[in-house]
Amino acid sequence: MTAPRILGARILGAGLLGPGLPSWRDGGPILAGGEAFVPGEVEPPAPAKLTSRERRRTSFAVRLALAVAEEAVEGAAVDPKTLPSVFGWAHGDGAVVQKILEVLASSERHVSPTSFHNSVHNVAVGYWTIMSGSHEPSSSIAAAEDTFPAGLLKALAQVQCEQRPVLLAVCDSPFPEPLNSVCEVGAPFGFALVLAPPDHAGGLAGLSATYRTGAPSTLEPPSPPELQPLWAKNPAARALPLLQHLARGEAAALQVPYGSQGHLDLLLEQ
Amino acid sequence: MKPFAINALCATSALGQGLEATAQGLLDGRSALRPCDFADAALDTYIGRAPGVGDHAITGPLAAYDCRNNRLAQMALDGDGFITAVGAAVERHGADRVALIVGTSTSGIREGEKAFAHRQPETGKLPPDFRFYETHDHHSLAGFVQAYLGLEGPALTVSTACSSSAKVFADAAQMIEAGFCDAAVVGGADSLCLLTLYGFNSLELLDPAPCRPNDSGRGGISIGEAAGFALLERSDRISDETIALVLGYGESTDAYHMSAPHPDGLGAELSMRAALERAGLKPDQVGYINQHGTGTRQNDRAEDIAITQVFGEGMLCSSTKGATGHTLGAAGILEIAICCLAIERGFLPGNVNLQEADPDFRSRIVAKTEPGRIDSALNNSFGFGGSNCSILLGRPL
Repeated sequence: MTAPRILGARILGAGLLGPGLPSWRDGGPILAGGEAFVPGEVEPPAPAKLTSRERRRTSFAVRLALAVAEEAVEGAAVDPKTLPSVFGWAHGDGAVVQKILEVLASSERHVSPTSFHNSVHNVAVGYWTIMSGSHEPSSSIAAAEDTFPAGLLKALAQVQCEQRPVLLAVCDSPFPEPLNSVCEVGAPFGFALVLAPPDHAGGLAGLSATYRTGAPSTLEPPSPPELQPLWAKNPAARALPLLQHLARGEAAALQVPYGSQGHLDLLLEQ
Repeated sequence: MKPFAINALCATSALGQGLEATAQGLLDGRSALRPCDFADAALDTYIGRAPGVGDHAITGPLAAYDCRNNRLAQMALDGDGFITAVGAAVERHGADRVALIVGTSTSGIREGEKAFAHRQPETGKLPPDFRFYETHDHHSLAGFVQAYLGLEGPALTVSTACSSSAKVFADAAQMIEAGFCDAAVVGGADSLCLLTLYGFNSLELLDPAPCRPNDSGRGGISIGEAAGFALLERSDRISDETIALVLGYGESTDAYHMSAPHPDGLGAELSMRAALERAGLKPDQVGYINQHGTGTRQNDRAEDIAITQVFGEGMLCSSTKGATGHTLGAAGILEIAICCLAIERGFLPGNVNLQEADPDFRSRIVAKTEPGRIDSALNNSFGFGGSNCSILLGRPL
């Protein structure tokens, strides 16, 4: 057996979008506690860098992912063409999938070609690479409620192996009824981080992660308490406590549950 | 990179349950495609349906996971001494040091299809016995396999359409190299469902006849289903038991279109070059390419251009999808298993259903299975969203 190794990375930029959290630039101070949190509608912008034809085909869930990815990359001041990308999505785009399931339950079964290609789990990262012109490796991962720790581990491993920055974007949006009744996501939320090798100059903070067995010994909820339903229901929002410490610019040791068998120990350093 | 050892391997597809049935089917040049008889699908197409899935219900403590996709996974796991080999790896490394990384495009969405066909008429609610997380959800496969094998390391699902279960080899290599785990079970499963049958039909990509990849008269894909898994360990675990080596991996993105490949195969070329570079191999050291070779006009043409760019004219290639159908998110692991069998048993898998190779193609298509020693083989898997992956496999030293 090998002892677990602690792997570090430098966070070069961040993106954020959720209820009352319009961006990392404007939402960071709210997460940091300096400004009041007022929940509101989430309105991801239309992705300006896609052609109008492609833009029309993007769903709410895809626009959310593209918006946080774009903000993180701009903040990191890296060329998106050079970035490998890891997109995490706990359950895919439920609105698109439900539409197809309804059509398949009808007698005609006329599935729309656009709906079908938008139903793949990697639709958001597909549009991201078209928009950024990146031929670098791109992936779309899922791990149900553990999608944040799973995506983070994958992105950190890639940073370590390839010794260059990697984009991580994790987002989830509520499903329509009746899928919402069997898989409640609550409210839309997404964040993105550009992670670089630990010796990279500048950036917001250092982050390292270790996978360990057993349930977390402490679980720090986000504050204010109004953020807790989002944190409890939306898998991407499990990153909220980490993002709060990042926004405050402070060091922190955190635990995130990962599967029934383990958790991640996260260490945020300046 | 240092090679990784494939120390256990299993696969199930329309060719049959287990590696022996898979190899025999390839040696016989058998096509397992049949006119579509899946559920109540009324489509003029052929499918590669795995035999006996109905007889392999998941029972006991994991019964909640019972669905076609997880049954297929269980059928694969039960064969080829896989469970015993993984058990030994768990003994060596500890259950928490064995990661699980699986690929699937549609997981158990067939259960969602059934649930939507049986909504409660008054309320529109889904039936109470619909188990979203254990069946329909993408991560359901990982949940089942992790519990079935008793693994306690990090678990991850990759869902990048038809490259899913090839990319898991790259992820595992990175996770092991980074030290997050000491070994990984990788693979995937995708099973027949209405979503992919009617979806590909809407794109007019289904061949009404059994698919004929690389053929001048090819008219699209035949959808199949498969599951397969591999145990990956570091190169210090190479032994007499080692089946094959992962010499390198390459990943790229087309950045071109959501459902059509780059016309000149740009992304495909980049992923093959990346795999060669990681392995430190020259193109002439690769003996065989198992192509993505779906049977669509566009895919096969673009792939031939890309292969010729990297390997020159006359590269020995075939697509085995005429035998198994296009198993979508499981194509990577199934065809990587086929490459391992070809290396281990010394044969070049034939391009089943080929009548006349496309005269514009510059690669040499292996029409019928023939004996031949292969020291290293390349597998290509390309998916919607322009997601490309190439895995380079080699003979254990």
